[in-house]
Amino acid sequence: MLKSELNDVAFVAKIFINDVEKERYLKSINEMLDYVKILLELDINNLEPTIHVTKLRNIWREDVVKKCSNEVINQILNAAPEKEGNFYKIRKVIES
Amino acid sequence: MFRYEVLIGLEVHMQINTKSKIFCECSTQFGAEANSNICVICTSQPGVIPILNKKAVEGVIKTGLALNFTINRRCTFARKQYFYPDVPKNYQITQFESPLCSNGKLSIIVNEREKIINIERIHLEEDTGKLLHKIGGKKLNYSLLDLNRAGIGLMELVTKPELSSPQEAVEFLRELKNIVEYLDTSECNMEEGKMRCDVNVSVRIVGQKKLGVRVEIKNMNSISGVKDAITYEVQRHKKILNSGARLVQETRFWDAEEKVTKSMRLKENILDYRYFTEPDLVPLYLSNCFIENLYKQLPELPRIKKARFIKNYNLSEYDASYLTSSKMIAEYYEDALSNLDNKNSVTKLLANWISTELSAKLNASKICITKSPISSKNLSKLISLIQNEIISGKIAKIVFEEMYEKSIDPEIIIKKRGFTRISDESVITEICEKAIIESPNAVAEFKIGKKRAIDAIIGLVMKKSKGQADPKLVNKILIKKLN
Repeated sequence: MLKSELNDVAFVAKIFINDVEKERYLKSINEMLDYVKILLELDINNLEPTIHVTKLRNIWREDVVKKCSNEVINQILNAAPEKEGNFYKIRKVIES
Repeated sequence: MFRYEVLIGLEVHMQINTKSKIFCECSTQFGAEANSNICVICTSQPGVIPILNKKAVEGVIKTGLALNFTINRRCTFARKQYFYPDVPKNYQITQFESPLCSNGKLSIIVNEREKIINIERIHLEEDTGKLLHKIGGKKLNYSLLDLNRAGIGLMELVTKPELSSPQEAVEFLRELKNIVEYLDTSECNMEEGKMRCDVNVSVRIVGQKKLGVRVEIKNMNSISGVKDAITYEVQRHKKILNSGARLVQETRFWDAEEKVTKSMRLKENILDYRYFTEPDLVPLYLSNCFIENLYKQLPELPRIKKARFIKNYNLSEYDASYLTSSKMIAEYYEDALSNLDNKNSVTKLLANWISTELSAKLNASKICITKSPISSKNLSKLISLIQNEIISGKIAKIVFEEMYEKSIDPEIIIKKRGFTRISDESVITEICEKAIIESPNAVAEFKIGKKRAIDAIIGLVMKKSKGQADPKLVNKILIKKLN
C-alpha cells in the first residue's frame, strides 16, 4: 500500500492520523498484505470475476402498483422521533 | 485580455415513466398526500430487499437505443453512500462501473449548424425524498420530509463536456426532451420535477490543454434557468480569471430570484461516496433478443417524422419543424388530417391553421394542444368547410374564435349564425345590382378602361353579403353586368 492510498482510507474512514502513526500503520498493513499475496500465485485467467455470490440473474417484477396498508404506513410514521401532520419533522438542513 | 473557451457538460435526471417505484410496489403518482405512497422498502426498514421494476430497465434501454447508445449486456447496481435526510438508507442505489447504456450521441442544430454531442452514459437510479423548508411563504426553523418520491426510478444521462454555449445547452435539452417525450419513457415535466438538470461549467484560455476548474450548478428545473445560470457562471469565471485569482472547484446553486449562482459546498471527493456493488440486487444479463424486442418498439422519432412530413405532406421545412416540435402537435396534425377527404390538397392549409391561429390561441391561454378546446376532429371539419368553399377564409376566422371559446362543432355555428356561402345566382345578381347603383364612380372608371376599379364593387358586394357571397360568382356576374 502506498502512502497516498493510506491517506484515502483514512479520509473515507473519517479518522485523522499523524505522520508517525501513518508510518506505523503503513508498515503493519503492508505486512498483512504481503501475507495474503500468496493468493496472487493462483491462475485465475479463466475465471470470471464474481459480481454476486448467487447465480441468480435478472430478478425483476412487472410494473404493478400495490398500495401498502395504512396500518403499516402509520407504524412507519409513528416510529419517527418527530412528526408534523404526515411529514417527518427533522432538524433544519439548509442554512439561509 | 485572454480569449476563453467554455466547456459545458450536463447531467440530466429524468423520471422514468412507470406506475410503480423502482424497487417496490408503491405508486409514483405526483401530488399525492405526503408520505402516502411509502412502504417498508422505500423507507428502508431493516431487513427489506429491493426488487427491480422491469419496465424501468426497459425505459432506460429504449432511451439509450434512440440516442445511439451501446447497451451493456451485463450490468450491476452500486451503492453510493451519502448522509442526507432525504435518503433513508444513507445510500442511494445507482449504477457505477457498468451503466445500462454507454457512449451515445445526440445531434443538435444551433445557428443552422449541426453539432454532435457525445453522451457518456445513461444509468438507472432511485430518486430521493423531498424536503420542505417553508410552508407557503413562511420559512421554517426545521425541515419536513416527504418520502413519496423516494425510490421512484430515474435515468441519469451524463454528456461529455462538449457543449460550448448556453444556446447549445438549451438546444440539447429541448431536443432530448422532445425525443424522450416521443419515446414516452419520461414525461420530462420540469415543473413537476420529472426532469432536472445539473450543469458543469469550466472555462479555459483558448489553446490551453488542461481543463479549467469545474463548477457544478445543481438542480436546475427549467430550461430558461439553465441558460441564465450558465451565462452568469461563465461571466463569473472570466472575471475571476481576468483578475488573476483562482477558481475553486465547488457545487453552486442557481438563485432564480436574484439571478445569481451561490456556493453550496466544496465538491465532495469521489472517494466520499464509497461506491461498491449492491449485494441486494443480482446482476442483469440482457439477451440480444430482449434488446432487439425493445428496439422494435421504438416509435418514429422527431427527425424522421419531420422528413416524412416534408416528403409525404409537401410541407415546408418551417411547418414540418413546428409540427414535429412535440409529439402532441404531430399527433394532433395527423389526427386532423386523417379525418379529411382529399388529404393531399389540404396538408398545407391544415398546417397553417395549427401553426398560426391555433398555436397563438393556445400560447395565449397557456393550454397544451392535448387539451385544446378545438378538437382535431372539429378543426378538420372547419378545414373541409373552407376547402369545399362553403365558407370563406374570413368567415372561417370568426367561426374559429367561437369554436375555441365554446368548444363546439363548426357546422353548428355556421347553421346557427347563417354563415353558409351564397351561391344562388339570382340572390347574388340582386346584391350586385344594388352595389352597382351605389358605386357610380367605380362604374365610370371601369368603363373608361380601369379594370381594377371592379375590386371596389366586389368589396361592396362582399360587405353587403356579410362575406358570404361566392367571390367567383360575384366577379362573373359583375363583369357581365358592367359590359
